[in-house]
Amino acid sequence: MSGHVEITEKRAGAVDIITVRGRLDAGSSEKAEERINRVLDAGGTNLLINLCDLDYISSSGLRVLLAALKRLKRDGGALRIACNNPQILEVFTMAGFHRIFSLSSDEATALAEFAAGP
Amino acid sequence: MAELTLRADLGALAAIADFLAGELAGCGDDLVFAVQLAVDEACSNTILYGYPGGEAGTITVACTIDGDTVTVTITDDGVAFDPLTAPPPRLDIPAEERPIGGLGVHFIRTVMDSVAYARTGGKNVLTMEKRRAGSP
Repeated sequence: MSGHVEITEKRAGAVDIITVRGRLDAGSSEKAEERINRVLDAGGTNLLINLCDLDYISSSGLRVLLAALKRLKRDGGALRIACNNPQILEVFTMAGFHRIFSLSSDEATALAEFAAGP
Repeated sequence: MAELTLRADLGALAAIADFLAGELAGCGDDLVFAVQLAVDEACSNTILYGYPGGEAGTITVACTIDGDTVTVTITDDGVAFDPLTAPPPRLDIPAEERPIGGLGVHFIRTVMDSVAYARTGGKNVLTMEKRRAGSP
């Protein structure tokens, strides 16, 4: 059933990677926000959010991503998003978020861009 | 016409998405995603803000396919709220500076071809239509 969201964390060098799979809607965005904040509270400043296996995102999901971006910008950190799902990317575009987020098509590319700097 | 009635809590959102995916199977992934997004945003608003007194009511989602047009009607017994009165978001200012509210209604207006609101018999009735790809 599509109701589940699965969130996993890993680390690659200085980059924290949070992968969100499934549905990021009003019912699951709070859980995602808690996980992201936990990583940032622990001192993470380079955050990669992998949405390549996300099936669905609503404005509630975008709200969580925007909050993370604002917090990292304020703290001198960086957020990059990996996503290759055209429907998810269309939601970013409708919101104008494609202009403010650093989007890569896959995790390896996003990681390489962290290494390359801002 | 197929219809689904659920208690208005956040757990209903995924069930509504599954219902639409089933009813609209064969209409194409992009249409299914668009209708799911519009219905999800509307139902999220109802669930989060429609029952300020506490006890959640019910939401009914009805879906019909008539020729080239998909029609979805969402009926809820929450407080009277016309989402179409929400001002459109200022997409010309940086997203960082924008209030995020209003984005859901913007999505509904963007992905659907028509949206109409009525308050009937003490219920909110939101009717949305989308033409299938390839139709004029």
